[in-house]
Amino acid sequence: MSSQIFNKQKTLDAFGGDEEILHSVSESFIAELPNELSRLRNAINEGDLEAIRISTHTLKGQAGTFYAQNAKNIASELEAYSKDNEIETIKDQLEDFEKAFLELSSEITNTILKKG
Amino acid sequence: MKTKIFYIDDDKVLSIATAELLKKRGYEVELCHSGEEASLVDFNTKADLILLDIEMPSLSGIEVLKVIRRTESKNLLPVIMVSSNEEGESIVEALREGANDYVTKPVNIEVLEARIRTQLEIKKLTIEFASKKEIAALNAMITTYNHEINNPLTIAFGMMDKMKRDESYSPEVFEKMKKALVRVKDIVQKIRSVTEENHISFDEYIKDSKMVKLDKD
Repeated sequence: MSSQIFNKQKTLDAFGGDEEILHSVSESFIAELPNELSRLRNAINEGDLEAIRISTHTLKGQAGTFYAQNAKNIASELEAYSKDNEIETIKDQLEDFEKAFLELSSEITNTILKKG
Repeated sequence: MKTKIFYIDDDKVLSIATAELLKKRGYEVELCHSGEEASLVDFNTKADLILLDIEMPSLSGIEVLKVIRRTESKNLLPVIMVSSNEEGESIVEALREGANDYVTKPVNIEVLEARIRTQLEIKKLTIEFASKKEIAALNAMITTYNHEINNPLTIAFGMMDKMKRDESYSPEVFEKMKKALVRVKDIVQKIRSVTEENHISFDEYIKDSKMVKLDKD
């Protein structure tokens, strides 16, 4: 099964078809996401480029785990901006970034965890 | 006995999932989420193989790899780097610093397990080969012992028999006998000095021959 937001089948294949692990990873991702986004917002407010880089790198990896190309691309861009000291661009992009990850979270909840 | 894998990755979500998948496939997995913590571990008894994320905050995977390679050889402790697709230069650097292989994220468990098995097989063959070389060196030592000592002993016994047959003492024959026995003594001394060194080095002492070189160049 594939959606535009993420690819459930590819994710499951990467986990060797293990639905239990897929479920567990999905729950972990959704549980951690608010904390990670909060860390990112704080880092942006403080102008801490290294913390921004770490947060965006982590979320990029997690988006990649779910084959969520849009969220991964946006995270990759923000990571690159953090390396280039472009804090203002990061602030401008933050809303799109959060939207992409909240959409991903919602889609995972509906598709894998089958809630809502 | 289960293979012990030590997995170092700051991404808790991915690393915990991967660890669980490996455990289900019969591996023992220990996780570490920080490069700094990993750099303090004594891997000698802890791991048969290491999975190591390249990009980590504070202490990168490359830096951790350098620490590992100070004490653990590539042949005896394989390290597979875990990398995101964009880290081409980092992968090259890791391979130069002694990484054995790499996988890219998102990690596919089938690919990862295949690479783990390959590295463990290479490690096993390396150990077997090294042990065979040592056995070959010892065999060559025994062959040398037989050959080098047998000749002068034969001469010495021959001289003794001659004196017995002639029923007379000959200083000349006695000198030849003494020379032969001194030769035996020298050879025994050389063999002792060869075996007292750390290991019989195959390449140093054999050089495509079935016998050991007693005099090093």
